[in-house]
Amino acid sequence: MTGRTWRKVRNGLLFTLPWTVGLLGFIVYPVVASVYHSFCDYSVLRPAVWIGLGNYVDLLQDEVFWIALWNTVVFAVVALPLGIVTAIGLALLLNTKVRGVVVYRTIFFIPSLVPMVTLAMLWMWIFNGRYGILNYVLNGVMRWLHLPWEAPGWLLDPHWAKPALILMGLWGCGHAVVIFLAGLQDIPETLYEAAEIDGANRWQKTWHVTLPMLSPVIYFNLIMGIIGTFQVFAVPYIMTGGGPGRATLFYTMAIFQFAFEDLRMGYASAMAVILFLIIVGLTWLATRVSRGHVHYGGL
Amino acid sequence: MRRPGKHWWLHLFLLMVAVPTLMPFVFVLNNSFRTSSEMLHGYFGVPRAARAALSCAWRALRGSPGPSFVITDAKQTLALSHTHALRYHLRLLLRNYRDAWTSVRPYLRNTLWVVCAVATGVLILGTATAFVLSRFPFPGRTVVFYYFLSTMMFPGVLTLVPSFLLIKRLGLLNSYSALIVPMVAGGQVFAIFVFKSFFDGLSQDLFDAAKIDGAGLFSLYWHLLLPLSRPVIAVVLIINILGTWNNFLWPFIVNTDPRYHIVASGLYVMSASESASNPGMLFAAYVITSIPLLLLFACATRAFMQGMTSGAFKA
Repeated sequence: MTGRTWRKVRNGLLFTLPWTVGLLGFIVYPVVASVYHSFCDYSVLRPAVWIGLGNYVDLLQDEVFWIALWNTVVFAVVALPLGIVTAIGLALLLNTKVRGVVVYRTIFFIPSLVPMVTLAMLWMWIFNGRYGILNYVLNGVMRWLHLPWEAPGWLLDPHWAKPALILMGLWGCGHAVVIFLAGLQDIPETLYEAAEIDGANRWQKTWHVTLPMLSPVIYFNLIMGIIGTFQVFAVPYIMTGGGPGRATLFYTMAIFQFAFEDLRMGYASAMAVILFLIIVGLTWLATRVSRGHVHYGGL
Repeated sequence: MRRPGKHWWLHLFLLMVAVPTLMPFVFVLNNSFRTSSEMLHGYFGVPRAARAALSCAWRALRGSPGPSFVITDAKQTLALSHTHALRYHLRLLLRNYRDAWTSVRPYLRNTLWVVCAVATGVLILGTATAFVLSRFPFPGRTVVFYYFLSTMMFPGVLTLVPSFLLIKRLGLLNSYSALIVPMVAGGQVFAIFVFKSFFDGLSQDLFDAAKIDGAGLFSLYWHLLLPLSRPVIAVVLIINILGTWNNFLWPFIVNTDPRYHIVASGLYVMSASESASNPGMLFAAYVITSIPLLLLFACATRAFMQGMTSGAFKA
């Protein structure tokens, strides 16, 4: 009997071995090393030297760190809710059994199919202050309406670079539309029938049935969105390189610059560890807040 | 009853969103047919080569008398027959695409190779591991499962620097392995969960029946489990392909040698060097590199939609 149990354990471990080892090598070890390096002065060229909390103390006094954090938080606070609200709105419209839903859904989905790098390049052309199509249209409209303003230089203007990226993010929210639409279609019809019998109008049905039933999906999207925002890299790196000034320097870009441009691996690791703590904290907070607001009844 | 035209205001609104969504793509597609000198005059309207080709085709069809005149790059004027002129203009029209194709072909090949290798590895290891975790209880199974689960909570940025150093120490910088090994070994825990939750939902009776018929472990896996899980395999495949296709930071730091660029990093390097001199060719490159995913989407829309939404529900 014990022999059989032993064989079971051995086979079980054997079959899961590739992942156990792989994760050990490419997740567990890097995490541990990251935490260790965050307490070291480490430049790759020379061996790591333990400096205790030095990196953390320096980081908290580093302007670049705070700017990157601030930019990321602004993006998360403005762009994320804006994107979610827009996506829910579009999903609600598409869920009205209107004709051609599949066509609209496909159109909204197309931006998620194009490689991110391509999108970034593409939007650089759109935002180009002098030759871009956005300003071509905007300036045309302003001239037509005899307005005295001129369209901004977008990515080259420190005040307009962030709004430009937010606008671009909004344009690509079709991915979320698809997710919300699937969530809406999972809501049982019986709930709406019951609400109708109670005399609910369309608005009341949306507010008291649809949104509560959709809340787990909204919640999930919010959390993933926050985590994603802190890891945004490709699009701002390609489009602005963090500039103008440091107007679009996001958290992960700052880590990248510290690690691979300044070769301050320990410093960058400390920043990554802080990011992890922020994410854990935010997720914990969101879980607490969501109690009583998120309804898992329908799923 | 649904009356036609009842939702006209809804369509109007949706179109107001849909048109700007498509606009940038129309812009790129249209301008991918322009020469750079033509683009100095503007981005709108039908590209010159297309107009010229159309007019030649029209004259050839009508059988108009006289030659078509063609002005070459060297400012020479040639008198050609309509069909020859048409061929000339079509060549001109597709020139950007020919140039772009020679540049992006190696990137596409590399991407395809990496995608295939990662997908194969993840599918084989993922299904086998999830099969064991789901169907063969052994002491310590929960521990293994939660160990896998816990690795999902670490953001990629936290592991970025040490992973890079690890790859460097293993001597794998500038190789395909630098892209494939970490993805297969550690980057795809998600796949295990999608597989495991699907396998958990399968009826045990099926497995018992197959065992009574004398199926061994491998038989169960190969002849029963894999055919049953075709839809979920498609979903994992799609998530994988999208991930590899869009991954920019990792390939960008581990593979600086242009020979190993995948589409994402290759396009970036190409754009940085090429954007001023020949935007039309860049646009053509964007179009070419977007086609594979669009095709895949057209062929596997259902799996795509499930892949997109699977994270949000029940997974």
